[in-house]
Amino acid sequence: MNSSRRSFIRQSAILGALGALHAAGFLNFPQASARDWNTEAFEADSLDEAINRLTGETVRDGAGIIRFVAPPIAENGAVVPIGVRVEDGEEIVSSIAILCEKNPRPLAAFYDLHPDAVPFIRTRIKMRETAPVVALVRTESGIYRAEHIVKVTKGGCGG
Amino acid sequence: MARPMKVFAALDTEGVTTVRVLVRHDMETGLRKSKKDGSLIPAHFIQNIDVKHGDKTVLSAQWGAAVSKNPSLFCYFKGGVVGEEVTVSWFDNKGESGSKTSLITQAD
Repeated sequence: MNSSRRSFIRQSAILGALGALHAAGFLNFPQASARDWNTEAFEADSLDEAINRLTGETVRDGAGIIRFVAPPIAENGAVVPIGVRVEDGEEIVSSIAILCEKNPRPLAAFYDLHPDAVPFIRTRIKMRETAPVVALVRTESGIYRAEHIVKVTKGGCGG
Repeated sequence: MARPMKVFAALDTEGVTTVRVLVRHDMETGLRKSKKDGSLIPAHFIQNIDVKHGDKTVLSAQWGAAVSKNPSLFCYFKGGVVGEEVTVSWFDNKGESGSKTSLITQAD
C-alpha cells in the first residue's frame, strides 16, 4: 500500500468523524467553515424563537419595501411557491430569510446575497396549514419584516 | 450518489442574469412516519446551496427541511456575460453533495 493511499484513507476517516459530529449538532460555530448552517435558528420550534435566534436585534416593519410573489391560496401545502422581492432602493440587501409561522420548524430558508445579486428569491416550501409566511430582510439600515398569508387546503407535512 | 440536477442561466436585455436550479432530492423532514411500520423516516435534506458566477458567490443559501421535495430555486444577479460560467453546488445533512456548471445564454 503506498503512502498516498494511506493518507487518503486516514483523511477519509477524519472527515467521516467530523461529518458525524456535525450531523449531531456539534461544531456549530458561526463562520467556522465554508458551509454554515444555523442549527439553532433552523431547530427553533416557534416563529418568535426562530426570529430571535436569527436576528437578535430590533426588527422593523418592512411592509413598504418587501413584496411577496406568492399565491393567496395553495391547494397543495407540500409545494407552495414563495418569492420574496425587496423593492429597488439605494440600500444593499445582504440577506433574506423565509419562515412559516405554523410549521413545526418555522425557518425554511436563509439566503446570503452578494451585492451584485438582485434582492429577489424564489423557492417552493412545505406548509403544514394556513399561516402567515414571514420574510426577514437585512439591509444596511437594519432588519425588516413583512408577512403574507397563504391559505392551505391540503397540508404538506404529513404522508 | 449522483442526483439529477439542472441549472439554467439566461441574461436579459437589462443586464440581469436569471439562474434557475432544479435538484432531484427527497428533502425528508425527519418528522414523517413510514407507512409500513410507523417508524420515523430519518431527516435527509439539502442544507446548503451556493450559486457562483465565475469565482464570485452571488448567493449562498441555507435550507431547512421545509423546502419542498425536488427543490427549485430562482435567483438573479447583475454583471453576467453570455458564455460565462455559473456553478451551483449543494450539500445535504448526510454528506451527499452535487454540483453543476452551465454557461450563461441570451434570454429570449
